[in-house]
Amino acid sequence: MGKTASKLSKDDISTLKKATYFDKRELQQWYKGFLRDCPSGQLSKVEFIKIYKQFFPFGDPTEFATYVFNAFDTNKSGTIEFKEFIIALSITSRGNVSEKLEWSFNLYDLDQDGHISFEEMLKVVQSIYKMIGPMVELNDDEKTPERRCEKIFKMMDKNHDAMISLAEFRDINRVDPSIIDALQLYKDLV
Amino acid sequence: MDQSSGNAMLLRLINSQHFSLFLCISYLERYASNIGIFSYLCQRIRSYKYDEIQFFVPQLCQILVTVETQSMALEDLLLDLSSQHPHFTLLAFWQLQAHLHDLSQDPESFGFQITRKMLNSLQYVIYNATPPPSNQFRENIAPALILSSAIAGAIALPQLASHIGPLAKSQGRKQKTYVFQIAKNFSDELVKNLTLKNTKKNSYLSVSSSKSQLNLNSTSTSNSFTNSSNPFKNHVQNHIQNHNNNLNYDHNQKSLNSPVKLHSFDNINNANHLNTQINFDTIQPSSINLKNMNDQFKKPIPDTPPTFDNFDLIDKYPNSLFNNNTDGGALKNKNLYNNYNNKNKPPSRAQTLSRSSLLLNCRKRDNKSSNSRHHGSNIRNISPTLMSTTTKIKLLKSNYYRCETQFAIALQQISLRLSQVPKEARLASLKAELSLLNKDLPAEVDIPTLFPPNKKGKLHKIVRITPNEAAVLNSAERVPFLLLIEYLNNDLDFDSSSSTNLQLLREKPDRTYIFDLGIQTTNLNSPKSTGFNDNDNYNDNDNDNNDNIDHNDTHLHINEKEGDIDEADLADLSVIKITDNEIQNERLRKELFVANTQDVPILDSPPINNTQNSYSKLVNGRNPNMTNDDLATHMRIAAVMLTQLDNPSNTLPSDQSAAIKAKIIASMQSFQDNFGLNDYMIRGERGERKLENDLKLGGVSNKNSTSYLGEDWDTKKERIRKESPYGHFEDWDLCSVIAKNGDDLRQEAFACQLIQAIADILKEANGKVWVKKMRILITSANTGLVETITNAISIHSIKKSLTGILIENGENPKGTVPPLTEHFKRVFGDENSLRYNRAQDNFACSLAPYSLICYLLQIKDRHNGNIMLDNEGHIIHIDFGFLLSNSPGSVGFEAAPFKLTQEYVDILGGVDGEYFHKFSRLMKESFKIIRKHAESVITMVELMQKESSLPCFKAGDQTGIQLRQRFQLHLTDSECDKFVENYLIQKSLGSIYTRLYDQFQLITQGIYS
Repeated sequence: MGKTASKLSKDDISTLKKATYFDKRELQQWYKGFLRDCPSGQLSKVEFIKIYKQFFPFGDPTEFATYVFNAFDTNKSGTIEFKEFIIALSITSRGNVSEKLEWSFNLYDLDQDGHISFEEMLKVVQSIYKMIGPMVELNDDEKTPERRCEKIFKMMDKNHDAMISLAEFRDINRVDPSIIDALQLYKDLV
Repeated sequence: MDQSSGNAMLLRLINSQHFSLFLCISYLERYASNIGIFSYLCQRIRSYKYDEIQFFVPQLCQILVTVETQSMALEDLLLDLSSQHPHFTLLAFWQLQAHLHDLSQDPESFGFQITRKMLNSLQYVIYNATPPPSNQFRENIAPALILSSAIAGAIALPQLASHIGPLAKSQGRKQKTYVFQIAKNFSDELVKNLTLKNTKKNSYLSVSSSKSQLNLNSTSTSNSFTNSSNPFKNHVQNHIQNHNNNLNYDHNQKSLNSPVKLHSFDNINNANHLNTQINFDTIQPSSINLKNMNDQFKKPIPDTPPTFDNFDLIDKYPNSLFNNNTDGGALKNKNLYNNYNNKNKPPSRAQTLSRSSLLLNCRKRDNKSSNSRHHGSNIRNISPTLMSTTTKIKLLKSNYYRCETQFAIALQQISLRLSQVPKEARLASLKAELSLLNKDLPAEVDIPTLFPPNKKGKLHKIVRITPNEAAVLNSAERVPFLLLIEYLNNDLDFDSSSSTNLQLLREKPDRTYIFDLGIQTTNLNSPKSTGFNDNDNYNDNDNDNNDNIDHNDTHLHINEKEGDIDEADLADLSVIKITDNEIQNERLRKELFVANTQDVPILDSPPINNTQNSYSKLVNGRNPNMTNDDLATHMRIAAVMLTQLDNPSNTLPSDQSAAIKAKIIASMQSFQDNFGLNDYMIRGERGERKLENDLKLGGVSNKNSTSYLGEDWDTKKERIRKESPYGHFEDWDLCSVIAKNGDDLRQEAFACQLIQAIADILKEANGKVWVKKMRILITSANTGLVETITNAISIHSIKKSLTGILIENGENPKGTVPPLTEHFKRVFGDENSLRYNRAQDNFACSLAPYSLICYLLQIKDRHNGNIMLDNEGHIIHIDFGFLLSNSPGSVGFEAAPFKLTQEYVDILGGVDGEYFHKFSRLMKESFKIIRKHAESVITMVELMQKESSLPCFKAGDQTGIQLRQRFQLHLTDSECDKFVENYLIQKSLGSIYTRLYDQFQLITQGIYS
């Protein structure tokens, strides 16, 4: 993919049309937007964290941003390219619930072994608490990251093996309705 | 880590109780570079009381315009407040228009673009016949990343999504400008296409001219007045129209090869031209599809009730069209044009007409409308039973905004017209104008900030402008005028179930301009009667129409079109006819003029049958039983004629001119008696004018012994109430207002705001201090309304009239100016009386804060014409043309920290007197109090000085620095007292500079010292 070409090539478009829910026009639009916001055509981790600090000024988003960055950076190049971005956007905005959950799974499966351990989940939850801690009202049973993690595992870890598999992860929407709302964040927007 | 722990403290500060609204607003600038903090501050602003927020409208607008940020939060905040509070909408709208005026030289700037964008959005709120702006998520990478990751993170903590969702979505809506060129091409096509449609429609409607869409022909009285005056006037009017209402709708005129070139807009065309580009800049090329667009024409609007008549559809489709095809309202600006005109023509028409012709000519007032005049309303013709509650509220609000904005324009136009009239005839003209205005009253008009605060959910409603109390104020150049506005307190709301509002919705709508902003066809008896064709402003490059003479036959009689509203609407354009050439026109105009001047002012002369003689027709071809309206109309004609006589293009011999002029003026003055008026025009020096103005505005006396001070407010109010047809209403009230035109009132308003802010701080700490609240409403960069200070009169006028009275009574053979104590004794009685002492106390309690304020803000030009005394002995400072970093004339005058004359000391009972001590104590206390809030005051100035062209910020960044120095923040409390005592008071006391300035004023201006 031409990194700094001002327009997507035909090949790029046909590849991306298959890989996403966007049509040609939308792809070109988003590509333009991507180049405007990251003129080099790549988004580095440093820049990525900077963006997070703009949106979460009252906490420390560094850790969470790093996990998210790794989830976006599917080819592990150390940067996020347009393709990685637009596929993630396509899934989160127009994908179905199970696609969204599958994509989300990557965020938590830090070592990419196909399972989310309690420690992995705890790390991510901790990073979120660090990021938005003082800004959000929390129930007693999730006042600390540990408690929240325990709650998650109670809901998801059906076979009690202290691991959440992708299959278990996908079932979350049947257990926790508040997550369903959250998955619809882009509803009617993109 | 450092950053986030620092921000954690910031978060605690923002959430603390001590975090004032003002601090919150000033932090916006400091944290503009961080989207999250900026947005959180905007969120915090919402937690304050609305009345507090309204006070800071100028600051919020200033920040919007001058502080660059990626955040959308302030825009969202302003729009939210606007949708909740009608006053906020109007205040922000007018403020931003003034900003746009300043920025029009620099249309590429951030400020211009954001202002324009905000104004477009506000127009949705104001003329909200359209669907809300798109909330679509645009191609913004950062918020998209955040939102995507929030979805993933929500599994760990669902609250993450609800916390960051709104901010990310808000940022996602941000429009970036990068499809500039293509969009411009699109606009060409768009216009071409619409033109085609219109041409088609027009041609099947057009009655007698195949070139109907290019016809410019005025059809009635007031129209011909506005057009037939000199080009300068049109120019000014257009200018005003532009800046006050229709900021953007004209963009398809010049830059899109409009057939009509508009030379009268040269000064703003530049900005408009660029507007065009900007306005289209977000159109997405692939969304441009003319076919789609055509389909849109046929589609009914989803939330339009099916009972909306054609007229209403016309009204709506352009908007929906643009919204659906331009990716979020790049063409929103057209809505303004459409809605403002109420006739709501498809936008392309704008290209065939000048702005002024659209605004001033495209209006028909049919006979029916005069019946519904009582409500002065503009609500469309829909059966209210079929409307949803939301629609009803929308329409009611929309009606309110329309009445409100048109009222403001009407006042400006009156001022403009008055300035064209010779001084002797101005009062007569003003009363005529007001009587026309009164026809549309009561109307849904409140005056934000000038009228007292409203009850929740209620607005005041103007019922009448007392015609006999209006006055033209003497001024060197401009023509400000005084209005006494009668209103009913909290008589207006948007309750969709109230019977009044339902009636308003049900009534046959006027559908057009109110307050005489347009044409009055009702005054014309014959369908063939025609206006004076005066097209020299419009057609300098259009050689298409050579039939300038037969224009009388080609115009269309609108009233006959009543059966088909849609057509009548479109036909408006057909009556407007462009003639080919300016010179020919000019000649014709003169011929007509000369023919008409012979008999215009003579009301009882027989009608002259001259088909081309529009003036004669207007003036003579009517019923001899003239109403006030007729009189008013005649007055205006006469005024226009006078203007023509003064026009350099007037070719009449000068003696003939003079004779006609004298005749007209005499006639106008005789009409004036028909209104039951007296003319008190004043000539003379500035001091003379000041007294006269004062007596018109103020007055403190209801006793014979002090009748030199004019009628006091309560007496006046009672008198007017008794005379008023609305006086019996329990909630009736009266407000005395000066309408100004041609002056930038923003410095005055800012000074009043600063004084108010300081006074509030002082009053909160010490209830004894007294400062007059002054209210100013800005309606554009050079117009506004000022509330007059009632029950008070300037020291100059007190002295001047008192001197006269003493001479008259033989008590003052030498003609010396009496001291102020003389006035105090006359008004308040013996020096040892309780009343006198109370007046002394009031004087001390007001002099102290004003002195401190004058020092801190360096308020200059403190001659006695700018200082008033009220009927309780309070001192009041007015007129803030010079403060902070500008001062009148040469250096040396007014070098004292503030004005403290021996006379003041005498009133206070001498330097050892009880009241002088009180004054000095209050000064010291106040200085210590205000120093604790110095940062707020300084920040307020620093905020406003940024990129400001106001004269008081002449010193630029130094303005705030010098202000800070005057607070003497390094001093301890006890040093502070010494500073007040030894420096401020001692240096001011009997300052030679103060005396010099007063003497200078007396000698040069006749202002009494």
